Amino acid sequence: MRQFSPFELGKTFMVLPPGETAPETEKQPLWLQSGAFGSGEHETTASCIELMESLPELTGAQVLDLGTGTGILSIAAVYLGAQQIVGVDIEAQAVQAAQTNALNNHCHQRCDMRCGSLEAVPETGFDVVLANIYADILQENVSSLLTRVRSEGILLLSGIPFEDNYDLRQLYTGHGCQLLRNHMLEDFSSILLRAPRQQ
Amino acid sequence: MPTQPAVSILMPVFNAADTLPATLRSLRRQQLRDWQLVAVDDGSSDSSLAILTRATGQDPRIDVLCQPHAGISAALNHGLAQCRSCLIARMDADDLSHPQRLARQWRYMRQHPETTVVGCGVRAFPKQMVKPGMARYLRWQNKLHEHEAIVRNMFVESPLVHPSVMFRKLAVTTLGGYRNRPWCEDYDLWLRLAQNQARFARLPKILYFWRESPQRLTRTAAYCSKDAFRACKAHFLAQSPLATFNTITIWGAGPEGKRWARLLLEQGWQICRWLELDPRKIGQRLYGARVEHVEAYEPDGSAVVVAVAAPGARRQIRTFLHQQGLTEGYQFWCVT
Repeated sequence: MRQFSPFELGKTFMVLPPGETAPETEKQPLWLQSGAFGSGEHETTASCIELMESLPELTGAQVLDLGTGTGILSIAAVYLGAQQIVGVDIEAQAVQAAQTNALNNHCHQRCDMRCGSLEAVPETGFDVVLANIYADILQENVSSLLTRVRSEGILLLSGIPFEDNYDLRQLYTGHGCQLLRNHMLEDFSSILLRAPRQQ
Repeated sequence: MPTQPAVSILMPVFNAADTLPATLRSLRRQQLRDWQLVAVDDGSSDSSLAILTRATGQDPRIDVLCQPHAGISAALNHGLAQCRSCLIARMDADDLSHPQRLARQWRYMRQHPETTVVGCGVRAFPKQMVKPGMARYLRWQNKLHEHEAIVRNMFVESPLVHPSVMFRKLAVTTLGGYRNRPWCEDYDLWLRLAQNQARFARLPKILYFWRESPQRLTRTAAYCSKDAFRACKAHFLAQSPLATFNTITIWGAGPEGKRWARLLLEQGWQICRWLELDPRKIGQRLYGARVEHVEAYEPDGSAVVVAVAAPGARRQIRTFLHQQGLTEGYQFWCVT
């Protein structure tokens, strides 16, 4: 298993390999078995964490984490105050890693990790939807994502290559979303949106 | 008296209303802010000109020129004349530039006064539209970083994506700017620049995003066809050191080799033999010359034209011919 040196993530977290003792720091330790799904160094993960830290809506929230991978965003959401997370990933190996990571961070009771696509999540009314995933999936699933988020809930879309940022923003704002933040990173981008008010 | 900006962006526009807003936004996001955009509307029938006019009202760095539809070379020359900077960044009206593109290319050109043209890594989008051939081409050209690699591959394929480059205005205007020929204006420019000892480079980072669309000129125009490219290559090969040879050995007796044989015969060269690995072809006669096994090859004073498309095979052939003491660009050439 590939391991890594501890690193800071956002203002809140210190990411550590499982079993490693947290150094004396004010940062919240987040233990992560990285496996093949990255360990959060990726700029889009860092950008998601930074945007999540700025979201008061996370407190007590029901969160959907689409393309959860290692589960890092789900676990961070719990540490940031979310009530319950549904994480979903099409890769069984990723879901297994996410479950292990949730357990190692003692938040497994609040993280429901599922294997499958968005269809594996029939629930609606999520306060926050996190989707750090391929841009074409974000494009194809605009309606499905919007049916799962509550009226005026939050969508954090990330992993968006530069070239898809503009079209994706147009697509979601065309569906009534309000653009809150547009983070252009080194190679990717992240978009924070407020879902439309439902009648 | 207008000041000279660090970079002039040269952008021809023809019926690009759907994509222009994103293109302009990608320019407004550039880290390097000292630029002039020269947008040449080439007689668009959609709302491109209205979008440009609105943009110039909001941003004094944007200059808009109009002309009745005259084609890309005319639009580029029209715009080039109005570029105030000595450094020109090309841009197309349906593409996007990374926010660091201008800054990085400008810095490179400042630090490398010997360089005439600097490209960058290019990625095609949207992903769903990108065909395998295009993906293969971009992977190939994105790997050509150094001048030598770019020039060595000049007759294989166009080694630079035109709208992704920054070049020195003087080098291009000295050659008379863009020309109307039965082949692409950009490939024609690279080959003329190479003939005139220009130096090329590429920044490896992906800084340009090339929009795939069935309507793109590269897809639709006859002057961008494979035949047009081959005719262009043959035209410039006839002005290269290959012209000092009377006879040519062609490596590769497949369809590509035969197309090249016809072109070279038209240009007045003689084919003295073929080299091939396929045992079924060994011993045949093509265009009056015998097909021999590559292992039988010994330098005989003829030039070698390698018409083998697979990059892996091409690499091996290059190594082999170097081992035989032949120099690429002087005694052998790789073409497709």
